[in-house]
Amino acid sequence: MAGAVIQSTILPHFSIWGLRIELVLLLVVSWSMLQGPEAGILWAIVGGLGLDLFSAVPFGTMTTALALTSFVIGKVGIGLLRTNSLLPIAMAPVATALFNGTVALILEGFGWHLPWSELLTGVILPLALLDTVAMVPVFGLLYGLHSRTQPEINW
Amino acid sequence: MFTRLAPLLLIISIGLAGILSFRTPQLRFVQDIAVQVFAPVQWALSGPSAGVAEFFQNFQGISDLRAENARLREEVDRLTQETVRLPELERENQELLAQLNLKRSQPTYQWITAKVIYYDPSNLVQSLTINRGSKDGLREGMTVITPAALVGRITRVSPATARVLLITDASSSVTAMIQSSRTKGVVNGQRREFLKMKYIPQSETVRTGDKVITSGVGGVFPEGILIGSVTNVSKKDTDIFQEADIEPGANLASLDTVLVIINHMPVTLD
Repeated sequence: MAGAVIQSTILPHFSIWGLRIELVLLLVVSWSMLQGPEAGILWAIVGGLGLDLFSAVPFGTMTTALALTSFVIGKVGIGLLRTNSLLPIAMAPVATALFNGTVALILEGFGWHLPWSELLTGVILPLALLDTVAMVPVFGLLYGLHSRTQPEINW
Repeated sequence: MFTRLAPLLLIISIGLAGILSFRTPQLRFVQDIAVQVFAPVQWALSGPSAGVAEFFQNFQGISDLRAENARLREEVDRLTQETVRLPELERENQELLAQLNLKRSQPTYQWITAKVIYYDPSNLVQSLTINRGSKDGLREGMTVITPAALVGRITRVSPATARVLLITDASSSVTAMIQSSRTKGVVNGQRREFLKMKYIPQSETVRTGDKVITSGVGGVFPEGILIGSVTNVSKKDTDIFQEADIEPGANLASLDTVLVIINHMPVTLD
């Protein structure tokens, strides 16, 4: 919830190319990769509800998209974590594309007409780059927190 | 009788002796001897006495220092507050000056100011929420501006807040015209910081730097509000219309305060 508040109040003032870093998405997928997809979904529901509260999209859109993204990335990422602890950072652009693609699809289903080519080149691709850069400190922070609280990762 | 007067006589004689010694230089040596004899005793006594006196003076001094310290701390706190407040006052002053200039240039519009509470957390939607709502007289469709340029329109109102759809949102369309040539077109959002002006006839000349304002056609937005400036023109001979990229006149990504025009409502077919 705090992540949703930060994302909607502070981060807009630090937007790059008119885009804002998706802090809640990064927190949720990081936790999902560290703790497993089941634990990640819980975070996704809480974080998604926070985003839905502040968003103009139909209520539930963010929660659904975040839960799906968290589950998929958690499944794939936790395997990558076994080989190299930095590899999950590479999952950030995949998470960005999956999350925003899902949101866009749901919006289309609700009758919103989205300019898909502009959405891809103007939003998703540059946002994937921004989120990847931001993923480094976010994942590092959660990895440190996770190591302190649960030194042995349960695979 | 003599016994009763003895103390009085003693005091008088000591007094007289003192006067005589002061008036008679020859007797001063007696005084000098007395000083010499009693000086060590006086010094010995005056040292601790001075110490005790100094101790009490210091004690008093500490109390004074404490009071002074508290006063200085208050002064520092006050000055710190001032240093924080001054830039805020300066900013507020600039905002009010900008509003005053806007009032001079657009005398027909009435507005109320509103603070931006938060932006939409999704990058797919360009909207923000302000701290004014229906209890302040806001209605859906009202135009939102800054002293610099157009921001968007209100799409949802609650008693205490209102949601504003920014002109950069892909679902936003604003009927517009090039200010200098009066060439008309439609400005669409692009979900990025730039806008696109479409449906500009090929025969018209559009130049980089041209100002784009609302045309008022359709009655959604009032006429004559700055939208932004042309940054790029796309003209193909095969197309019926030409397009222009527009940079918004207001910094839509980082707004603190906006103005809601309350005496213009969109025209509806009802």
